[in-house]
Amino acid sequence: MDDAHLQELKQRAPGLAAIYQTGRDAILRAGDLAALEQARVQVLGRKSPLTDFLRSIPGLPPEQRPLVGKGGNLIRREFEALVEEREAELKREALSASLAHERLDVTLPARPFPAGHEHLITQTMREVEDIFIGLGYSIAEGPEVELDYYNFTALNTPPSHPARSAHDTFWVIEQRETMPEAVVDADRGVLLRTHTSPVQVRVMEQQRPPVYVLCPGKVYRRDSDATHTPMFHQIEGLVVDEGITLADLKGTVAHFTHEFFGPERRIRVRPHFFPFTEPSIEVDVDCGLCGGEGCRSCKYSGWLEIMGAGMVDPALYDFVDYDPETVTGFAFGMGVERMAMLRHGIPDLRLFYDNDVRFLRQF
Amino acid sequence: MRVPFSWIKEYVAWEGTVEEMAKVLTMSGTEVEGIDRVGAPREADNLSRFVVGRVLTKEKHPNADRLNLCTVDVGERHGGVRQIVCGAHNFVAGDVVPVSLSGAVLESGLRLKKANLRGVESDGMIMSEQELGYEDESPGIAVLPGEWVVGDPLQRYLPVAEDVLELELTSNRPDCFSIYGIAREVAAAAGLDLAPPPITPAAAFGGAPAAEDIAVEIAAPELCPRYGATVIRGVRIGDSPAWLKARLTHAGMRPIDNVVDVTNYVMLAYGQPLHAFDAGKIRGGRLIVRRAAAGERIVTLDGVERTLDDQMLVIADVERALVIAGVFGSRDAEIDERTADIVLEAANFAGPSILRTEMHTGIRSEASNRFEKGIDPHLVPGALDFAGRLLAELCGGTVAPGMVDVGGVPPAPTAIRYRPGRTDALLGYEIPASEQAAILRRLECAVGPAGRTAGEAEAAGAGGVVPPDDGDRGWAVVAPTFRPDLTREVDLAEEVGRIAGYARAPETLPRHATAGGLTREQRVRRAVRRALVGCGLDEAITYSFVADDALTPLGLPEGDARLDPVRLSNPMSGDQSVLRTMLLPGLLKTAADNVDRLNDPPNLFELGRVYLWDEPIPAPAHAAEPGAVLPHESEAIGIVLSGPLEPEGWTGAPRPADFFTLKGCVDALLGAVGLNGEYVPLGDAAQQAPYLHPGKSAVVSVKGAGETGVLGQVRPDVAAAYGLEGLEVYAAALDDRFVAAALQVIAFRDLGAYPPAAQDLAVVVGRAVPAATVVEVAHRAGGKLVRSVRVFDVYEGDQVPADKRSLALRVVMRSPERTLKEKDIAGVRARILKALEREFQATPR
Repeated sequence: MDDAHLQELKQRAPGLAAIYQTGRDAILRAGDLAALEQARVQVLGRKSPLTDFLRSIPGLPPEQRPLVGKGGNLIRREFEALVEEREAELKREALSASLAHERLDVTLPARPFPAGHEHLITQTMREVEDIFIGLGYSIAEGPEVELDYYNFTALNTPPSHPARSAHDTFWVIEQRETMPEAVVDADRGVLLRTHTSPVQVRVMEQQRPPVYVLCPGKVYRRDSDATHTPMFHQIEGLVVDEGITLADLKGTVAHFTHEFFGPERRIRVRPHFFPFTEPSIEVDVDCGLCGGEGCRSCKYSGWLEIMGAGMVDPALYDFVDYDPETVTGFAFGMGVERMAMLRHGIPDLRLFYDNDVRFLRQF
Repeated sequence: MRVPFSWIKEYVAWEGTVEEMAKVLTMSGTEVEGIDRVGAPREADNLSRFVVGRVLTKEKHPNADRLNLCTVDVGERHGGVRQIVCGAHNFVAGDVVPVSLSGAVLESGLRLKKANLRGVESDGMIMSEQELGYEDESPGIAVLPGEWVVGDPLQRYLPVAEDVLELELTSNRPDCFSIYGIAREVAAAAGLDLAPPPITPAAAFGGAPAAEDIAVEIAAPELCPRYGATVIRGVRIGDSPAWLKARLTHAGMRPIDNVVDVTNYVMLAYGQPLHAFDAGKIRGGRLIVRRAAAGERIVTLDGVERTLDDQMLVIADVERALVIAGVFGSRDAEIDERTADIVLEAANFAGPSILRTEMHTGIRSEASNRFEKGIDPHLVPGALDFAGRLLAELCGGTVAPGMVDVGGVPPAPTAIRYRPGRTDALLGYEIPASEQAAILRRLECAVGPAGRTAGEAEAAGAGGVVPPDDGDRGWAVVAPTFRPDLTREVDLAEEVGRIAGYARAPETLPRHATAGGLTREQRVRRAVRRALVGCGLDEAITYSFVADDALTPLGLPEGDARLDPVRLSNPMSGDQSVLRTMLLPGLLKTAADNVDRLNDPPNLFELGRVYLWDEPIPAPAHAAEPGAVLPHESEAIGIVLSGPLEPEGWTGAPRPADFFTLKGCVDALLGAVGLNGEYVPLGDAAQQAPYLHPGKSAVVSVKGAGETGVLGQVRPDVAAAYGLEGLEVYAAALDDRFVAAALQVIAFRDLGAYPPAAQDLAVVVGRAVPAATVVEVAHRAGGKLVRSVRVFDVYEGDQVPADKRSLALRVVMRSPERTLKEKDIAGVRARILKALEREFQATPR
């Protein structure tokens, strides 16, 4: 009932207006559900002033009856609505009051879901693979127990090549279908691959250009200290196509670096030597710790070496019957553990192979 | 290699800092790993406190017998005469000596102060070579040449402080294994002038020609293309001067005596290793360069007797081998303090042979390290001249005229066709032809027009004329003899690229589009890993090699292919001597390692290769000798559960892992690639998996691929043998056979428009009846309305007979056409119960 309505009622039926105001106050004053029920009986019950009033209508002059009757009913409906509203309000208050007593210690540890963890090497390899899949590369794999031919000879590293002395190769005691009489050292033919490059040769033997492959996998070298483990993981890439340039190599490496280490990182390309690439380069990324200023982690150079790479040496094409006058290519290789160490700040390579779950579960 | 900064500056006109030189070298392909700052600290003009002094008086210390009291003139600038107490005796009044003044900070960090030594003031120190950092042990102070000017800073004559560039050299650049060679790189990369090679001969020769004293015969020319020798008579073996000791020490070699030091100095400076023989010990006056006899023995300078073979080269006299050529000398002809006449060798040995000898003898010397890379035979005469001059100057000898030179000058290199445009195409950006020609010339290549011979190219290139770019005919370029790595056009392209600098290269991507992606096997592996990680397992990556006896505790039957591993011929240790044939030993050990570290017993998996000889892969004919084979490598999956999958928490004790947890993992991994595992008791396979509990283990197979692995509890004794004593351990070993059936496209099954109905029924059956069989029979008997049958409870106990158990089955049924009626449901129930009764004598409970 708005104010205008109430004023009109006061003038024309002052008794009814008084009933309304008293009843309304009673309902709104009710402080709990019991009091509200009491108020409801008091205001709307059979003995309430309103009921008495309505009952008295037949005794009124006929011209007053419609107005007073209509007003009375209006007030009844209003009272009912007020009671309902007040009831909801009181219930909400009661619930809030009871919730206020329920308490959890939210600082207790969570109930853990038993989530497992892929090894950081796996995660790193997959991430690198996906970057290159995005560039249209396939993922190629090959044997870890490999022939000297694929590991060295076909990579332009014949037995007399001085670069071989840099490789600390694990050799395998061969089994032959027909064992020759004497196994002398000259036929050191089977080894644990020292890099994943032999996969590149196997791919080129199987496939004509264009070749866009990434070769991830385990490799082995006889070395063991904080920065060397006798087994580690490498990822190499090979592209052979018409018109491939060193600028393409640099752009590819830059793209990878930005995806893997972050778009703000810079790369630097230095000349180097590998028997299977010409020109050969090494790639550095600026040190993430000092931003290139020089710190202990980058040996005060501001740069961290991440990759060896180069243009495929045309001598390799002889082994796989590609024409060096029509195709060129590039290859690059990186150590997976090193990538992960640089990115996550891991100090010791051996942590990867201790498989301590406190390490595994960090990543 | 260690390159002292002050030494290299003798050969190249460098005016920048050592850091700037390091950058030039690094960016042109000679990687500088670090700069070693040796000697006295440079801060706050500390170096000015090291000066040249002259001893004026030398008397015995009044209060100490073993000390001398000296007055030393250190020059007006430094306060004139100082009184210095000195413990050494190897000098006299009048000698010029190095002095560090009070206030100087020595290499050790010690700051010199005026001191009172036994009642006498001592102001400064007369320095020994050890204190200068040139030698490990020196008998006394350093006596310097008398003509050095008193009061001058010592650094002007001797490196009191030196910056040493530490280089990582690559095996293709034998020319870089010398200070002069590095100077040439700096000059080329920075566009500076290079001094002529330091090979000035002795000022005078004397006596009979060298050939009168020594004859040389090369019996194995294929291993020794050139052998030069000269004779220096009347040397006095003694100590080298301080400057020479400084040079050698800073370059990383130990001073020995003046003759050996000169040979090492020449090698370091010029790149040609030398060997000095005591002429008196060469029997027959004849050096013979020959292959060793098989089994021939030699006692090398380190006192070790070595057995040689006929692939190795020796320098012998008429009676015995004196030197393993280019690698290591013997005691028999070495110089000693009585030596008077020297035969000096400068020879060229074939790199591959030296490399092989190094690998077989395990000896690697400064000389062999250079020879193995193939050095320039043209260095021979210059090195002899260079060393002869120094021996005359420093050891008082006289160089005999007419060096012996056998084998002579090798043929001149041939001209290489070089197309500048081809280099641009390979690099992907343009370097002007004039710049390319200039770079090649700075590297001492001759550049001339196409079709010229080497000599003509050289002549045509004189004066810096850029030859016309003749398109496909290109230029004729002749590489210098010290660059055996430059034989092809692409080798020259690299030189141009690296000296021009790769910073100029733009960053582009290959323009062709190709379709890449993963193979089916690769996708399966990713899915398997994801699934097992989803089960809560952590992935381990263990070494592929294991100990020979790593499998012993498993008790595999004799003749099992897994007991014949791939063996390494040169393992690093017994623990890593064979390649693994199974993943489980490595995983069990990893679990045990974690327990040892007081980690919670872990749950691990590994996906990796195992290596077996049983189905060997023949090597391609072009890649190996006939009959060569490679082992079969296949991807295997191992799982080891040693504790609860949930970590221990405050919310209640976690449930321990059991067989069914393990089975859940295997189900999950197969499910991830669209397969359902079928499990049967181990049965006959128990022989193949004797390490598993015979009653709590199963064989898993998949439709379309058959058996693909085993799973179950690891026998407690086996678990204990791997260090997991007292733990209940479960393990699965899967091979890659399931991959063939994996990644089938899963066909959609209709969800059904009509409501399902569920019926629970419990039946009592014999304990030996597999639940899976009961389910299968129930499913079949129920008919086509049955959607699924699932065991939801198993009861064994008082309520059923001892040899029986109760299985509670929930049967869900649904019709695709209508809502099921009561009688449909009752019918299914009846059919199932009847079938179970018929098949298993099951009774409803």
